[in-house]
Formats: sequence, structure tokens, C-alpha cells
Amino acid sequence: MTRQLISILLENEPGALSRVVGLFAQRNYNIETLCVAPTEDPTLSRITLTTVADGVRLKQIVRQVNKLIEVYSVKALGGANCLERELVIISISNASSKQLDSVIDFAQSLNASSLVKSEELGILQFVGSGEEVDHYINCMNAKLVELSPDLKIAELVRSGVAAIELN
Amino acid sequence: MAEELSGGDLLIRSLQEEGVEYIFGYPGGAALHIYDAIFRQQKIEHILVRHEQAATHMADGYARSTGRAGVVLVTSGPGATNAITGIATAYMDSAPMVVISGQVPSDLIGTDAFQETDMVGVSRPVVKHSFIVKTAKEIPSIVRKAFHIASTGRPGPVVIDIPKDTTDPNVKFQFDFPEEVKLRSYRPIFEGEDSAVDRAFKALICSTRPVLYVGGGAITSGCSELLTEFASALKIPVAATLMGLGAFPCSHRQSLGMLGMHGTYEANMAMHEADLIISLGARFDDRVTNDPKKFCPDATIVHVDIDEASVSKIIEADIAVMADSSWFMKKIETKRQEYLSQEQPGDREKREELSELWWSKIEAWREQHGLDHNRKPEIGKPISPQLAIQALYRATEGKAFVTSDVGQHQMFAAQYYKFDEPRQWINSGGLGTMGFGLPAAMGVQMGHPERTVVCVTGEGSFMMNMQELSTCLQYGLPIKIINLNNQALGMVKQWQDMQYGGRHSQSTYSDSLPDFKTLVEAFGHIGIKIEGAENLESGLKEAFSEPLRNKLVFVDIWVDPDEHVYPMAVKGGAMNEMVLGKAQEEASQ
Repeated sequence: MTRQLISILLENEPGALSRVVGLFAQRNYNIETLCVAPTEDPTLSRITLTTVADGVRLKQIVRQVNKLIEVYSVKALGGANCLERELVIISISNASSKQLDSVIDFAQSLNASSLVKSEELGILQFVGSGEEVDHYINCMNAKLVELSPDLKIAELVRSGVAAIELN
Repeated sequence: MAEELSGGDLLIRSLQEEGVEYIFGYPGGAALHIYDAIFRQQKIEHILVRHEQAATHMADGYARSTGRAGVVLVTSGPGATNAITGIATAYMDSAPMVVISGQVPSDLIGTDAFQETDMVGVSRPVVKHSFIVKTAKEIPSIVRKAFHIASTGRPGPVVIDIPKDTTDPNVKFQFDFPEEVKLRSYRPIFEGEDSAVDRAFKALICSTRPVLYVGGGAITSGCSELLTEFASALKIPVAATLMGLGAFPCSHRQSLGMLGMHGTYEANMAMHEADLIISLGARFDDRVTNDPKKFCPDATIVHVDIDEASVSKIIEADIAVMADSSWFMKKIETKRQEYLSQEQPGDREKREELSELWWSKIEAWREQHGLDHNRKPEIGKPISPQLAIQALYRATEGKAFVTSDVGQHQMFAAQYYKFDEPRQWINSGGLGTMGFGLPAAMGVQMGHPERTVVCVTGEGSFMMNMQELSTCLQYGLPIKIINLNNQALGMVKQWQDMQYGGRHSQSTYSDSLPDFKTLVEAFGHIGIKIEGAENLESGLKEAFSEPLRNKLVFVDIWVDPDEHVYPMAVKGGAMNEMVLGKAQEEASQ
């Protein structure tokens, strides 16, 4: 069972999203991440979602989604045929100014950027593939523990993966 | 200039444009503007049911027997939720249906208003699609789309939810019924790839033990004639699913009858030993395959289906044909004719020899454990339900439309009534909805006023929608109801006998059953009670006699309460593992 990326173009109409999400629940497929917004054609929305499935199940998911009347097209993306990006925002509280400085320095060395820095709060943003985001979060956790056992990520918000086809 | 109409009138005019004959429905607050529009027209007849579930089954029976979408109209809230079981029934068996539900006014949606239910949400998992009307203006185009979606591709139910304000008699729009449907995201397939047909035909010619496995999709596609011609010319045995009975004539020598859990011995054995299976509009349901890992170990699987998602869902197809069954049959029948016209005499001899060999095996299975279609009544013994179906078959000369409910009687009807015509047999195969039989028969009778329509039921199922006896009187529907009365929920009881040590938990109620003869008489119909095998033929003869032709007759046949349905697939086994009778069952316990 591996992580699979599915890209769906569907009519930008009320209720269309719930049909896709409902189908996943109804057929016992899981959704790991979900990302949805209108496209260059405002009458169509793009859903990018990730799920865990083997090849046979993936084929079945794609066909079931394709049956929905409002789905214009659906494609399994993966490997070299797409570029994926996810955004993560994390906040760190209860850190001293000095600690926050070294956290930000460290984060910037990982290509993250600092959005907010005040006395009691630091907010950092990182963009990368899903896997890179996982890696970034692990590194940040390790760094915080290294600075002080009491320090940890206060809140973590991930956008879900968005992806674009390469060819 | 086109005339201006209110939302209610736009709806009814649109239904008229679609050629709708009947609306099966029940009025209520949110649907009253629509009901007023119905009152002010003559073209469409509204059938007033006694419960909304029955309305959906009637529309379903009408749809399955005619091939045209059935139409249901219900009010919001309980009217809509009562329709859900029937919508799910139609969805599972791919019956075309358009369900119109009234909704509370738009400005009250989401406020938990009186009789408010999120119908689009509640029905979502059991519809092919649904619409909610935002303005009356869009009603004609939504109706057009709904019928198109319901009737094309793999058919199914479509819901149109109509808030009361959009049918306001004082707000009028031009009536403009679209000629074409524009749905860029809905492109149902019909034609498949020629190369897949080539491969399928080659596989067939190379096979020595082929079986055609035919499902409901073959009936929907209307390919029965082609199928019969093709199978006959190449002497291929044909096994049908519960939904596929009638696609190929059951009285044809090459028909193996039904396959699956209660399928015939020869059908299941042939499937298991086949080296090629051509599946036509069937979906490898768990009631057919039993354990998919043990399914047909030697067979190359050709899977023809209009629904892409059905192909390779349960069993991986070796040759997948995503296409309408009639398209496939046309193509492969042409191939067959070409092939036979060029076949060398030596090849023909060899092919026919191999076919003889395969048939001698099948005939041996049929001989050993096939169904006994010539049972004789045993005087003084309770009527066997199988015998009752055989007597019914004779009394109707095999020509009736037969609907059924769900349970043992359904299996006996499927096994012993030989359906020779597509659409002749109508039952709830997928969802297994008790209470389906009577209202479905009513819809069939509406669609076919001149035909004999029989509902085979059991007293358990019948009591789930018997209020419709009143509707039958109102519209003069001369349905013949054959009640196989075993004073129990027979199939539940059978499973309890076989798997729960005979503990009949909540499956019997013999002390509290009504006298059905008196009951149906109270509804204004004719009741006949038959007890004792010696009275079976004469009782049925009376039920189908000329003086009672225009009457609804309820025949209450008291059958052997201890009878089980055999063969029965062994749980978790392969298709060739079956319990064939009580002796075998008792020996294994």
C-alpha cells in the first residue's frame, strides 16, 4: 500500500465536492490530504487529494470517481509525471527570544521563511513536496528538543498537497 | 413568443415533453404547487399511492418492464425519506428513475423547518445524480438532464429537489424545452475497442469449455436476440444471474438457468470448470462468485460492461471490454458469421467434437443434480413451494410478467419459472428489498395493461407494502398475487437451521398472521386459500380463469414450512461447492 496522488477536475458547482468526498467514505477509501480551489477556468475546480492504495485499488478509485456526473476528468499522478507542493505553517510559543532566533536561523537553513516573530510567538512557513514537508517537520521537532526539552511546535497547519502535471 | 408558465407548470410541461405517462406519488405541503399543476392538465396520469416507498417501486417496475424511466413525486421530509429505500433499490439494480421531491422554501433551507430534510444529502449515496432547483427558469433544462442521465450509460435513479418557492404560481417564465442536453462532464461510453472484441473472439475459438455469464446489463442493452443467435450457433452454454434471467430463453436447451448462491448445479459446475467465461453486463457479485480467490480457477475472463468501474472490480478481467453489451454482441456475432463461413470442414468437426465433450459433462451434471422440473403433487403432504411455482408456470403458460419480493419464494421463482423473454422477471436483486413485489407488479401492469402480471411473494414480504391493495382497487389493477405462505421469514429461518443450530430467533409469527383471504376481501379483492397439494392446480386455475381476469386475486398457498432452498453455496467456498439437499446438510452437521 502506497501513497497515491489523484487529481480531479470537476464542475465548480455547489455539492460537487461533497459527492467526491462522500464517494470516498461510502466505498471505504481514505483521504490523507485534500486540496481544492477553482482553476484557470472558473467553471471548473481542481481537487488534488492523496490516499493510500495499491495499484488495483487505485484503478478502482479513479474509475469510481470518473463515474460522478460532475467530474470532468480524473487522473492518478505520481513519480516523474508531476510536480507537487504543500505548504505548512507552524507556530512556536513559550520560547525565549534567543531560542526563537536560533529556531528561525535553523528553519531558514532548511529554506523555510519566518512570517511572524514577537516576544512570545514565532510563525514559520515551509513549502515543498509532501515528503519534504514531513522531513522539515521532523527536523524542526528535533531542533526544538535540542534547544530545550520543554520546547515544541504549538500548532501545525498543512495545506494538503497540490500538484501539476509535467507533460 | 413562447408562453409564460409558473415553476409547477414548467415541471409538468417538461415531463409531458419527456413523454411521461404516469407519475407515482403522494402529495404534501412542499409539493402542493406541483399538485395543482397536475390537476390542471390531462396528459399525465398521477397514481396516488398509499406510501412513498411503494411509489418508487411502482416507478421501478414500470421502468424495468418498459425500459422507460419511471417518475416519482413526493413531498419534503418524510415523503422524501420514505422514498429512499426504493431509490436505493433502483440504484443497485440500475433502473432508470426520476424522483421529484418537494423541498421547503429556499429561505427556510437549513433552519430545521417543518418537514425539512436535506434530500440531496440523504439520497447522495444511492443516486446516479441529483439536482436542486435554484430558480424556476432552470426546471426544463434540469428535467431534460435528469431523464438523460437516468436513461443512458448504466441507468439509475436521479433526484430533483424542488424548493416550494421555485414552483410559486405567481412567478412565471418562458417555457423553453431544450432539444439537446449539454453535459460536458457526463460522457457515457457505448462503443468499445474493436481489438478487444477480436481478442475475445480468438479466446472463444481457442477455448474448449466456454460459458456465457449473463447479467442484468444484457437485458438493459436489449441484446437478447443477438445473444440467442450467437450462443445457439456456437452451442455455448448460458448461465444467467438473478438479474439476467430472461436475457437468454430459460427453456432453451443451452440455458443452464441461474448461477450463484442458489444457482443450478450444472451452472455452478460449468462456471467452475470453464476455461473461458464471457461476462455480459454482470458484475461478479459476491452472491455469484462466493470466495473470489477460488473463483473459476482455469478460466480466461472476458468482461463486457458499460460501467468501467464494474470491470475488474472483484475479479481481474483478462480481456476488458468497456462497452454496451449490444455493441459487443453485434461485433462478435459478425465475427462469428465470418468465421463459420470460412471454417474448414476438418476444423468444424474438431470444434463440434470438443463442444460435444463439454456438453456431455454438463448434461451429466444436469442429470445428477439438476432441478426437478417435473415434481408431482403428493396427496396428503404439504405443498412444496417449488411445486407451486411449477404450477404457476403452467397456469400462465410461462408468459406472465413475474415480480417477486425477497426470500425463499424469490429463489424458487427464479429457479422454477422459466423466463423466456427479457424484462419478464423483475425482482430486487441487488438491495434485496422486501416489500418490492406488489408495488413493482403495479408499475408493470400500468406499463402493460393487457398482460398477465403476477407477484410471487411470501407473507413476510407482502406485509411490508400490503397497503397498496387499496391503490390497486382505485386503479383497477388485476394483479395476481401468489403468496407462498410458510408462516415464517423463510430465508432467515433457513440460515438459522443451517448455521445457528435451528434456533429460530425472531423469524416466526404463526400465531399472529392475518387470514389473508378475509384481509384482501376487506380491500375489495378476491382471496383464494389453497391447502394440500391436491388442490394446487385447481386453485390456480380458478385464479387465472376468465371471470377473474379483471380482478386482483390473492392466492394464499400454504406451503411446507420446513423447505429449504437448494442448491446452496458452501460459505466461503468455490462455485463448485454446494449443499444439494437436506440429507447432505444434516450429514455435514
